[in-house]
Amino acid sequence: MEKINFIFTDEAGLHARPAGSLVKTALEFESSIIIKKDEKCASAKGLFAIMGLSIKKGDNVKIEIEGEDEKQAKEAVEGFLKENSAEIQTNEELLEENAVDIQINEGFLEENSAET
Amino acid sequence: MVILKGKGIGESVSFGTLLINKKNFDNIPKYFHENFELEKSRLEKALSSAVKENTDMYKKTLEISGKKEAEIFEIHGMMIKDKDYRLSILNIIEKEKYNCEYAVYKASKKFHEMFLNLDDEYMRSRAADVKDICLNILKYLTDEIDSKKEDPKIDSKVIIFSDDLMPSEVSNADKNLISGYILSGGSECSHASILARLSNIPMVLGIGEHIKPEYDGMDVAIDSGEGKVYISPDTDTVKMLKKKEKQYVKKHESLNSLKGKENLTLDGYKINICANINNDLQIDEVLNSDAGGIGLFRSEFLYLNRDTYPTEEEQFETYKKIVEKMSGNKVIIRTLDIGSDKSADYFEFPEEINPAMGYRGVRVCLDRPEILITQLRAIYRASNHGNISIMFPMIISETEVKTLKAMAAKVREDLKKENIPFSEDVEIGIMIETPAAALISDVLASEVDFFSIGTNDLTQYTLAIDRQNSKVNQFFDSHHKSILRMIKLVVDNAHKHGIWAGICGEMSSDESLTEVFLAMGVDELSMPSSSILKIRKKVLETDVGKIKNKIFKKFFK
Repeated sequence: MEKINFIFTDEAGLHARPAGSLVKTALEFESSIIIKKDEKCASAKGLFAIMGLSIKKGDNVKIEIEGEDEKQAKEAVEGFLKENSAEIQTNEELLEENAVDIQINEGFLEENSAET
Repeated sequence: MVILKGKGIGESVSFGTLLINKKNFDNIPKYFHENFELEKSRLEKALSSAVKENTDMYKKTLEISGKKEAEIFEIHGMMIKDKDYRLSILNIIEKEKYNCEYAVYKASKKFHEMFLNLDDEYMRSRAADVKDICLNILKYLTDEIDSKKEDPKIDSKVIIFSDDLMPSEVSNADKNLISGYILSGGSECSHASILARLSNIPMVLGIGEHIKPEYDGMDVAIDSGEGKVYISPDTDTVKMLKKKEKQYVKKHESLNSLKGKENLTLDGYKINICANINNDLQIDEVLNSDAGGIGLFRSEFLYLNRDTYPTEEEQFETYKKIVEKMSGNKVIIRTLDIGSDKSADYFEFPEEINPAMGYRGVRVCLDRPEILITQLRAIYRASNHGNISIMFPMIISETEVKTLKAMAAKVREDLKKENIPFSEDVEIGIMIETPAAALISDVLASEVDFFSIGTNDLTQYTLAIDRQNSKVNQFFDSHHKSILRMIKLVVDNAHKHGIWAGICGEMSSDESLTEVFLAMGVDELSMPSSSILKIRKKVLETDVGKIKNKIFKKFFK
């Protein structure tokens, strides 16, 4: 599994347009790409799911990528983040600290998990 | 016959059958289906049609108006394609056995509520997008049913009544089928209104809730020049309107023939006629009206209807687009004139008892200089791409002007240090809209390159009459001698100091005052694009030498 930690720095937050281009990026890969903010998490392949996280300036966000093409996916997602005002953190401590279990957001994801 | 009054867009008359197209969620069919596969294929078809519509609109809008305006269609398309959304609808069809329409409605409602419950203002306002896509998909589901029925009404043209219009609805409208629009809400400056004006489809806005459901299918007529709507007009009214239609056509033909002409009086005096705009979408109208430039760009509209301050980059892009489209013709940008009747939440303005005399215009900018600095940087950067001037609103003193000029000088210095190119020929002017500024215009004239007289505020401050208070309307007189004398004083003081003076308030498009302004020697009139040719006609017909004495006697002696 690949992990990315970042702090979002754009004044406007992760609004609809960049969320849309993140979805486009994520859909190019087989791997599951999960975004975690606080106790919420969402698949990066769904526009509503990402917007539902309501990522704002200063938010600490984690992304976990798992699957055959996870290395390439990580690279692409990092590329997206660099273009969209996010500070990627490489600090090992931060990674450790954030290695918590995924808690599924009790929203639409759960309801739709039957399909996946 | 019922006559309703609203705000008309354009000047024309049209007749048709009223088609009420209220966009709401009433009457959504709700039943248990018997065939999952059938409902599923109906859904897939409607979804892909809706995606296609948004993709087409994206391309079309991108071409006509640019990326910013087109973006919304791209986002709507992605929302419709969203996997979670689709699965959520399918789940309802499969497990709850509801029909496709109701499943779309129910799933959308859930996402709508999810957005409403988010802690971010921007995300909360995305709830409206969910409503839009839901209506978009439902349209294809009901169309599929409607198209199976023969519609006997379509042999005559229809006039559509709706709450508001999407730009796509206007630009996609078949003019052979739709002869006009009546809106309960709407705004003159909206994209839909601009498109209606450009494509010459009559529209009446702000009619409120006066169109009753039983009017659906009745004969209606619109006179957009008067902003009137006639429900089942009688024969005399139809006759009268037909005559009026001919007059409008004749008038437009004669006005259009004035395009390309100079604004010269019979005895050779020249006056510049420019356009007022609120946003970059209006540029096409400006170009179409043959304006000499933009005399007033109300930049505060860049700050309204959003949740954060526009960045330097965003502003730069807008200003650049405007000056480039005006290809060398002058564009006067009025710096942020917020407060009074225009505001946005993020400014966190305090509640005021008398906002017209309160925290507004340059008062806000002098108090919070960082806002103005950002704007000035964007304006100066755009000056490298065309002919731009800066104008400061709500001035009352010489000190204010000096401070603002120093801020502009500092911005130029900073840009120079950063090696960012800008033009050295950016004129700096001020609005004369307070009696204070008018009375010391001799002093102010030596500080700036031009004056633009804002007659709306100047009138309300001079006559002490609140423009928004209908109770004192009867006392209001825009032709009051005090106002005309003040304008003359300002123009005279400007000319004494070798600078030019223009008028950019409502009075500039008042035909009955054109002669007066010409007699005073006003250098420029700036007005809504739709009035430009009308005023040019008046200028061409005027002989200043002949009328000057009479006018001076009437108003100034």
